[in-house]
Amino acid sequence: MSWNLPHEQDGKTPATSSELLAEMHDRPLTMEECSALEHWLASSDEAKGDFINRSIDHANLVVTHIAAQMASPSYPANEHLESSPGRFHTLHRMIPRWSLLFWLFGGVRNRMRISGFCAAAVAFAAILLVTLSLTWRDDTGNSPETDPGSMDPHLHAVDALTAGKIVAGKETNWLPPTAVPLADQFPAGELAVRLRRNFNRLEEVDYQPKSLFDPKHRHPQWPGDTEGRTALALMLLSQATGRKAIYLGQIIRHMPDTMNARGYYGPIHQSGQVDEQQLSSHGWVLRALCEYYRWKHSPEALAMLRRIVKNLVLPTHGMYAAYPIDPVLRHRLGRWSGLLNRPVNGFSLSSDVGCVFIFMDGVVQAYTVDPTEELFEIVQELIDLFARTDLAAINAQTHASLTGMRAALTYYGMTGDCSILENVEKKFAIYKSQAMTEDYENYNWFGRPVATEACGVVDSFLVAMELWRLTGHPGYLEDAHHIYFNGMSATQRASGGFGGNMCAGAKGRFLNTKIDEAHWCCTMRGGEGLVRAAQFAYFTAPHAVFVPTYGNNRVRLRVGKAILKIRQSSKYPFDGGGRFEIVSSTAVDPVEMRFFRPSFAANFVVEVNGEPTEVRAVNGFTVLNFLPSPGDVIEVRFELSGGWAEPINVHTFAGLRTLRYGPLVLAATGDQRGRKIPNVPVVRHLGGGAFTAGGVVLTSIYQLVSPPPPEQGRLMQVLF
Amino acid sequence: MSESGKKQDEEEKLFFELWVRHQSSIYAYIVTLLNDPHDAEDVLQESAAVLWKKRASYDRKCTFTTWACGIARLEAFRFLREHRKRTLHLSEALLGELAARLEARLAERPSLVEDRRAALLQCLTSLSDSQRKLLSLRYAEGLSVRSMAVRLGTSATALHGKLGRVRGRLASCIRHRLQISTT
Repeated sequence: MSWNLPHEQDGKTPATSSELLAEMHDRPLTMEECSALEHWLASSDEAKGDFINRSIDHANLVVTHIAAQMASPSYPANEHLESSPGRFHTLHRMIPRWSLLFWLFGGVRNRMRISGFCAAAVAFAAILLVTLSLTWRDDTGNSPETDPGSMDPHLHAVDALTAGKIVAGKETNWLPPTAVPLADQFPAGELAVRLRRNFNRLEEVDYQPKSLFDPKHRHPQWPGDTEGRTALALMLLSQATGRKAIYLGQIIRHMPDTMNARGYYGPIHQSGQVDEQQLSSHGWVLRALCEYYRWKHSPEALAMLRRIVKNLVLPTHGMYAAYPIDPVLRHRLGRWSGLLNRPVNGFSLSSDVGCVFIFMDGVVQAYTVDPTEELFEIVQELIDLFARTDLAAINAQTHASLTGMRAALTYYGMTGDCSILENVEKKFAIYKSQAMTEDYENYNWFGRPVATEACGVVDSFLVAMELWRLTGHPGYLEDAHHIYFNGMSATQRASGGFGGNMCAGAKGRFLNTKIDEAHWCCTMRGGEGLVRAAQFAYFTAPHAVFVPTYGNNRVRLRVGKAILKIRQSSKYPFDGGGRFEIVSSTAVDPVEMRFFRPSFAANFVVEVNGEPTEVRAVNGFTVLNFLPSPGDVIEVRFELSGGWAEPINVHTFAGLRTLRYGPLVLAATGDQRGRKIPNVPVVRHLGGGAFTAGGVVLTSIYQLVSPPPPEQGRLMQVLF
Repeated sequence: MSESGKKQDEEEKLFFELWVRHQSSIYAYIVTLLNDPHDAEDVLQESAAVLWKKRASYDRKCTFTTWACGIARLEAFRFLREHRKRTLHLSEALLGELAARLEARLAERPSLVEDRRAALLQCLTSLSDSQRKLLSLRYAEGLSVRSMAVRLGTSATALHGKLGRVRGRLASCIRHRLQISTT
């Protein structure tokens, strides 16, 4: 594909996009040419690949020519090298050594801008360079690069890691796959029902602009919170379902009208004073504006975002080091009770301890949309604060904690700072063992199992999925299955909204409705949870398709240059596996189809067009190499095993355990409660979501929406 | 030497090893974002300084290029914001996407830049003397196309075409050689 510039300039024939690519390294392009090039690059993956290749070649041309010049005997600095043919005996091998010199002494175009630190580094490095140079050449003239045996074994290990051979513990060359764009997936089955009900709920009168912006309906202590969450949910639901969000445009247009003179929600505080809840609320506002800008490229959304950043975010610079995270201090302050608006170190702290990390999520997202140095400093301050916070010790709100983990993972994606990934993995492990209920919901606060909160459950699902995507560890994917099919499903109501339940395990054996619908927060967050559940049906990598779960859907996948359209049908989680029909395919090379094989799956079989086929197991997935053609059918079948599972939370009453079938937590209702189940039960699916174990009839907690629950607030025994 | 001294020494040695090995990849990465090799040299220097300062935070479980490119990206964007005069104006969103794609390719094939350079060195031998001279003037001597035109007594437009054709030929040759080496 090649674009012409919109009109001629200086009477010359307009350049084509490919000519612009050819000339961009030799002359400055005009703004119009840049605009045409941008348009072309944005619309074509092939163009992006071409651009990258040309840039690499351009860099290599510069490096090789300068290196050749420096390697020439006529180049003054190289005269002494003539006596060391073994060291720099080819141009190619010489480049790295030259490049170290290049860096140390400021490059060929040395601008003499070496800072004090650099000067020290240069001095040190010069000494080191001499040392390295002296040890570089052995008797045969081989360098360590050509003779790996001469290298420090420790460096060998690092080599393997840096070459991507041992990343993620098990799989070599783990490259995080990419989620399918929302526009390319079409959910069906029960998930589509859940999405539709949630979408319908969010278009009812409570969430329409007249209510949303009515001062009587707004929560003054959380300014902008409802507006941000609602807008975010609506735009995600609209993208995932292809249905127009009727009120979204009005909501976005109305937002500035209800902001203060400085362009954000709530009161304007004096310098050096911030309200943690006001910040937290703007986490959602920023996220909504970022998502809207990415989707619609709306200049109005970008302008609002910039005003919030300028007037609310940037003035907090330097404050986060003083945010109280000392558990002793936090406990003395009374932890969660009665702290609202009590100023400590400039913060009016919230009873939702740590809700500043919800703000962090919005700030990190804002940086990805509109990066500035000043904003990055705030991002770093917040990330540093999050990394050093012991969430359990300060009894942080789990939703804020999990949202913070999501933000930190986004930061890891931006910077590659592995210490942050490690920190999130530790925090998530602590969350699971200390604040996750036995049906994969959450304690609303660490150490305070008052009720579960669907907002937190949704974010635990998102964190688990992102941890799997980034690390490849299948355990995280299994966590996500458990959270979605139990925790998230158990908090969605027949109305489509989301609520909260009793904390099963911490408060006893039973699951019961505690908050029918948390319409002020969880119904909107549930929207994102469902949208992501739909989006995460498939992931792609350069030559592979990942099927991390099973369900009913259609999808359009871009795998390398090929486009595949697949229709999937499945009875998971009640039966194992799925049927994948290739609707269309432009693939000319085989594609790796990777099907998740959870630990509770047995007798895993893959058939292509009715014939068993050769597969291999990699990192929790069964891999099929396959050249897809229209009409091909892949059948994946496996048995779901059932049985007792030990508690996941250390605070669960001792001696209790849950009964499972595949990813499902089973429950006894009505007169089946309290009946004895054998120590070695045979769990069978009777059909229609009913199970039996040792003669006791059980149900899953998954089927709250379809079929509709016989009663809300029914007491379900989930621990035995 | 004390234990901590040895550890520090090891850390520094490791940093230099990794820097030397991957510097050209990081340079190519920065060129992709900035378009201008001279600006890229500046940013490379700045990035090196930041990386050195943060070397203790480098986690060996992480690929060095991922870590280094993350920092180089921040430095490159900072440079773009501070220096309004650019040779190529592309949005930060697009540049971010290009950077992410290149990072993914580097993660998949850490030797990507070196492989292309090895192929380039072989391909350069297939060029005529006049073509090599053109490249030498442009890249070794760092002349602008306009200066080259004056020196060679031709027009800048004609030289743009010639340089484009030479690079196009090199790109085809590199693609061909890389296909051979991977099959």
